[in-house]
Amino acid sequence: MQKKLKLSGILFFVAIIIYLLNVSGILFTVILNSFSKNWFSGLIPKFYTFEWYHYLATDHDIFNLLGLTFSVAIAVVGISLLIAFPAAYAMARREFRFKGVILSLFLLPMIIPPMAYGIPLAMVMYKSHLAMKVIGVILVNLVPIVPFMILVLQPFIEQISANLESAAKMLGANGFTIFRKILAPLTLPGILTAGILSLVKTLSMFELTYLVAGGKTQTIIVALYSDAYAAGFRPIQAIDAMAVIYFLTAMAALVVALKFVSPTQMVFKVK
Amino acid sequence: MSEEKRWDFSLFIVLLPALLFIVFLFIYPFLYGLFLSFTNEDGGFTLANYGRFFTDNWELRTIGITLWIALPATLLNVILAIPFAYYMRHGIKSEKLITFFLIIPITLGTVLISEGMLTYMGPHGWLNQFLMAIGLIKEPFRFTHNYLGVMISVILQGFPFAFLMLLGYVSGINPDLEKAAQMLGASKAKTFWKILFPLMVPGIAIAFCLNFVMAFSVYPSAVLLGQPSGPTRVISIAAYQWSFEKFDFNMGSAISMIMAAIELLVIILVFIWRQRMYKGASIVGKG
Amino acid sequence: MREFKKLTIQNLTKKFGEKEALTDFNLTVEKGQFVTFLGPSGCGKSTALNCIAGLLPITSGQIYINEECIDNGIKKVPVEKRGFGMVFQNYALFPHLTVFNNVAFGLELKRISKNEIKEKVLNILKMVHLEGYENKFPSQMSGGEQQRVAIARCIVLEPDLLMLDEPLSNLDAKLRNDMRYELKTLHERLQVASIYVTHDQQEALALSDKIVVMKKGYIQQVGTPEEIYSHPANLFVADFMGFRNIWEAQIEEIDDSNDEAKIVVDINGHKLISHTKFTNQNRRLKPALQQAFKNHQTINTAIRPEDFLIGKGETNNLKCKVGIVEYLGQISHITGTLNNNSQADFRASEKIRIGDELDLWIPPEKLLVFPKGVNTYV
Repeated sequence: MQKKLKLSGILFFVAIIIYLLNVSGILFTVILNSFSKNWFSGLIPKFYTFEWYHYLATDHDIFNLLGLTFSVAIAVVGISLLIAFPAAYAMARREFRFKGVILSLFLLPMIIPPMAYGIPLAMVMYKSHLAMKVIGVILVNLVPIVPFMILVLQPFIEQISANLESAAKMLGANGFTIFRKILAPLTLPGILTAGILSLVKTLSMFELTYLVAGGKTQTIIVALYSDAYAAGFRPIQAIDAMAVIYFLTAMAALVVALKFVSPTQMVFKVK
Repeated sequence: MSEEKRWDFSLFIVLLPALLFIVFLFIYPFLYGLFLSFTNEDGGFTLANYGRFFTDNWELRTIGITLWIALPATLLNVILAIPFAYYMRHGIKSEKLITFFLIIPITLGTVLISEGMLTYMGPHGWLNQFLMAIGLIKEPFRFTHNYLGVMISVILQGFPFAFLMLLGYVSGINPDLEKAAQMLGASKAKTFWKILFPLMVPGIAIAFCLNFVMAFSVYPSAVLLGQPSGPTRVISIAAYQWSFEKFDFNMGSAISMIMAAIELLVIILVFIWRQRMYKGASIVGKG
Repeated sequence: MREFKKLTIQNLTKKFGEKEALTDFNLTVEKGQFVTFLGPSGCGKSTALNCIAGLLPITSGQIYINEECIDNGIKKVPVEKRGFGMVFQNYALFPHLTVFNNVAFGLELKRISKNEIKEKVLNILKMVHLEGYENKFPSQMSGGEQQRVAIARCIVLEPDLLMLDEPLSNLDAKLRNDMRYELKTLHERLQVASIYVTHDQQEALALSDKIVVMKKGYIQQVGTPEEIYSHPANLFVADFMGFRNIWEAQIEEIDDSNDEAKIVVDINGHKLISHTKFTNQNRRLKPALQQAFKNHQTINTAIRPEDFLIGKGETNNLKCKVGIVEYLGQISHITGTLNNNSQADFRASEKIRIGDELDLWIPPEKLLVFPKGVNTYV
């Protein structure tokens, strides 16, 4: 009995270590390559340089790219919150006809591959002259984020006793005051959770942005793919340098997110 | 129908933004795609788009290729995630750190994973050098620019999600149930198979579905790590090429609709499995 | 197959990290005995139960069935091989199994034929009045019904020792009384050794052959319900057993023979007499009280509200101005101020109004005295 327990523990840690070695192998080859002059063979590169990061700053306008990426992500999070909060409130508090149907409608974008609805969506965007523009990029990114937010926010609102709202009403508060003084402060953890997780998700959303973004409106992940796809157009080390920058932003967002939420909240809860 | 269930003005107002959103950004585009897929360039009704897809082997085989990547990758991810989640269900030492390590691939992004794998697992990469050094292989093994490369990348990207979902699900199961089973004479293995696993089935079903969505729409990895013009020409590549390289939106839409249909079919199958495994599910919660 | 005669626990200690949750726990449970662990939350009663069950590894000490050691902190018989049964506070029914399959779960793990399993399950469901519930799922049942399933699931295996971890605490008051009665009947019928964990002293008194009162991981007193009720070993047990009127006092005089003492105490200038009987249960009180007397230390009194008598008696006469009257039906609960400025809690069956002046007296054998702040461990 005691021995068996230990065996499973060893297996667990061996598995973790193998996994970690390979993941860090992948990560460190990219990091090393982004600092290397030329690395074709050998265990580690022979010469190191910062020139690829310099190249990104001058030739690739990385600052603009990051600025645009974050503007898009923040706009998506903000707009999604405005749409998702009232809906999550209705879902948490009220029973109504067709509730099940509406809930499944909200869930659909999560279970249909983004490529499948993304292509018709992109066509609609092109038809209405919204594609290639920042607004178009923001709009398509709302599609997976709003349902995700509704799902994240709903349990947070359910947690707050409806009696609190009744009590506030008895004390003479109107709808908006109740929201401002009761709901908003009490759901703040939920709003933060939903906001940060959505930010992480938007940063890494590839397909939808890829389908509608133009050269000047792509986010960093799409720019990264385009560069990697057009192999030879840019030096491979520069691509790796950009991948490192993407990794650092995503990692920073994840670390911030983990400060506020437990990791298991990053995926939506199953009932 | 009770008074409570009726719609009123305030309910309508709070739901309105979300309804507008779902109608204009999801339902309308989707229906538009469905409409396009059944029309020709002049707008007339036709089944030709679907006909062309299902008769042209070059297109049709994308379904098989994609499923051949997505199904094993998803299955493997979920099966690998179960023991990890099981082991960590009551919390372990330095759990936060280990969880953090396990979910790092979320932050890497497709391109970094692809670029990294091309070098790390390439003929001169560290992995091959290591495997040759310990004598496991004599010549560099080809990990990339093939089916295996795409598969590994899909697994790496999907595993953290499968793991987190199952961990969240397992740690939500009342630990007293396990104790009760033991008190009734069940060994650890029996407790897992007779109690924990059946209770995990709904979680496994959801984790499988959501992971499958990601794996089935694999695109960047298939291009960068595979052979996009051959053995790893997945269905996403086909849909993209028809729409944005050949600008045949009708055909592109048809392929999109086929993707959605296959995805829904798989989800239905998974839920039938779940229903069979976990009969209490439909009743639990009514209580 | 050995026959269960008794369970012996010796010097059991359980630490969580540095914190001791259970210290030097000693107990014997004999076949057919109903033993209750009683104490407030955090007193270690559930920890003790889980250690005995084998669900928690013990830090030190030994647990024996008859003469055979089943756990000494290094070598332990696994949970599933101990032959104990446990009923959990939240029932812990398997939500994906029907009532029948829940009850059959343990039987199916043994090599028993299907027919026999069916017969046993149906029999036991009849015993707990759940005929016809076989195909229901736990979520379709009320709390009381779920509790019966949990009990049936345990006793169908005929365990050597039945453990119940606050089994009634999730039920409402009326159901709790009904289930208590049923548990008692069931125990009378099955005569299985049982350990029952609760924080409710009424449940403990009603059900047990033996009560173990616990606080902060230490046993405070072990005894029959009568012993614990009338001879609490220390102030904590007294308080838990419904003693009130904890007043500070000085000992004026101790007049002791072997197992009895007449103690005169001074409470704010008022002299009261206590006749204290020393039994096995509270024998350690005697030296402690003598010590307090010698050192002029303050002690505490304890009197049950129902032990005050209204009117004049031969001794211990007091006057009381009534402050609050709570009507409880047959009797009223009264809080008032005594002529020595102490607050008194007592009961009265006659009609009493706020502001009334009453004569009260306390029979000397109902006035208990305890050294202050000392926990006397048995």
